[in-house]
Amino acid sequence: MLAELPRKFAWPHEDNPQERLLLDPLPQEDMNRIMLRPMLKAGPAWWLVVALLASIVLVCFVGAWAYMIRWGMGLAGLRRPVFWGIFIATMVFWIGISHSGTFVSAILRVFNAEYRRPITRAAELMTSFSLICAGMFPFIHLGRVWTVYYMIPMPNQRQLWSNFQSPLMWDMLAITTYLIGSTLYVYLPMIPDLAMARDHTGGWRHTLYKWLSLGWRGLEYEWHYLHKAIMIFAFAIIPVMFSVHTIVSWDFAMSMHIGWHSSIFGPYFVVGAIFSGVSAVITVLLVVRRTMRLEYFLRPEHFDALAKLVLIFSFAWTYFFFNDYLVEWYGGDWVGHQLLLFQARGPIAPLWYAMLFFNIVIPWLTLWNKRIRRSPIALFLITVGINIGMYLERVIIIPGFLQRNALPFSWGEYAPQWPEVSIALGTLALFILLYVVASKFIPLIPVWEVLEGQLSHSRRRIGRTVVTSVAELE
Amino acid sequence: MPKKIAIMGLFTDVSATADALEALRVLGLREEDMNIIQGVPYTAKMLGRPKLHEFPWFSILGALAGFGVALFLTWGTLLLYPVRVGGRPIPTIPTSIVIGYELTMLGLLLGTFLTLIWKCGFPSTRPQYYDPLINHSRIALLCDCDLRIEADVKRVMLERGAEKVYEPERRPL
Repeated sequence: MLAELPRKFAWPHEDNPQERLLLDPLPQEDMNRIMLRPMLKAGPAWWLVVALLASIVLVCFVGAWAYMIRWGMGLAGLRRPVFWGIFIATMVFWIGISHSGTFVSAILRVFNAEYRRPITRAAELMTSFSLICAGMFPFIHLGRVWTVYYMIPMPNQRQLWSNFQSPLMWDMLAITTYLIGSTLYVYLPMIPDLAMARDHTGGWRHTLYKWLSLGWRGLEYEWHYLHKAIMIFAFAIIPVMFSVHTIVSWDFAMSMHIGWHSSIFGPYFVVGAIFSGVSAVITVLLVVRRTMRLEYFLRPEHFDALAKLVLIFSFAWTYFFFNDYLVEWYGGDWVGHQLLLFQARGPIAPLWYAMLFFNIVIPWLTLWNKRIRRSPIALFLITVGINIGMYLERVIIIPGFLQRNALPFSWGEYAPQWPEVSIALGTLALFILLYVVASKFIPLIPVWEVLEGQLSHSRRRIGRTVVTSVAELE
Repeated sequence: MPKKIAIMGLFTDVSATADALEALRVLGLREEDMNIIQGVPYTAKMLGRPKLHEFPWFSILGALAGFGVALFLTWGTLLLYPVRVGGRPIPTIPTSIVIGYELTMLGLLLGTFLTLIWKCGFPSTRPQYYDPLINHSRIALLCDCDLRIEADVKRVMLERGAEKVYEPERRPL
């Protein structure tokens, strides 16, 4: 009876195994060629994009920061009671984006989610680049950046060491740990691909890859230690990832400020970070797929799976948001109510409604639909929208909440000034620039991982149907 | 002592490689005399080779070292430069846990990375036995054997399906 079901009920991949990357192998040399071709060729369009981005970084980021260092922090819109503005909101945003790599790579690796294989490297690179962007904001926010050595633990004339009981110091150490850990985690699985690039290139590129691949040959014991190191990293970096955004949330939650002093802030921030991080992975992968012609590796099945994750994290983020909101609303605290009214009816109301629209309404209305999850244009717009929504969330939580506090005579308004906006936009250009440049030097697809996945996948007949079977390689 | 010679066979199939390894064992070659160079990580089980088992001691040592640094930063510096605030202890456990955790994890990750570097002898720029064809779906079986069984080793490899058998030269990578 089942066999007589009309074919329209069958999932597309059951009809067409070629839709699945791991069931559609190519010879290794062809895969290498697909990966290396866009790396080795830099046309005028690439140079134009690099020049444009570099100019934006130079003017908007370096120029505005230098101007602010020259004339002081008074140029920013930071006034009592709002002492943390766009700079800190943008730092939190970039740390959120950095959760993309760890989540997509480490968690999916630990859970043996096979669809992760071609997308891990592109996601892990985002982690390192976004942490570089995030890591600059404490220095920018410092104003007098030359006093940064106060934060370094060393005996000094003030007879004071850094206060390691402060969440700000925890934050600095957590970001440092995460940046070092995630950069090594990007690098480790890249070594065999760098060796592959070494064998296929000449001149300065060969020398570069020769040094970067450390003398990798692909011996059995090299693979053994590499696998072991990758697994230890995958397990260890997950709690580090959770700790980083939890500690970022403690920068706020450890204070007694209304709206911040909440025990739910840790998981709320982590979920928000993964939500925006996975969305950003989709955005970047769509651009990489189109510009580098990596359609063989990056298929609709991958975007479909990632979009489902985004939908799940939209549910989770909404749950935490509502939890936080309802407790404040039900608590009956007058200042807390004023803060809620400030969001719903005050000057930040357009941001608040836009946040709800991008983070809840749009994903919930669209991502349940398989056709939308597989449509590049729709997904691009939805995921860019989600990151706009998540950025607005950070702006609302940080400078937004600071405008209302327990002392009504000390309430105030905040309007970001051009150096703040310029520096924030400059880091966006810096992130894209780092990625565009890296795409010419780093194989964005871990070819050996795809090959390994193709080894473990096959199709076998069970009864009257043919199903995909995955073997445990270890 | 009989003179040793390196022989490399290039295979296109993992089963043929495993068969060749088995046949070479029969010829008297020890596991440590044979090595596989591969662009795709075929497991020890697939190749019929013994699996390496090693406890990650260096990762644990790295974690302990990280914890030691954290102890110094959280307790050592506070005791060296005490800031007395009425009614408050100078070092506190809950706040120290955060730094302790972060630096322990950093030590663990660095220890793991250094283990790989040390065990694999990276970075290495010396000339090595290598064939770039391993990036073209080939598996290289490299063995060290006595000069007197050289012909047998080559024959066994060819009989088991080696595409090419030759005496490799050490070359810069």
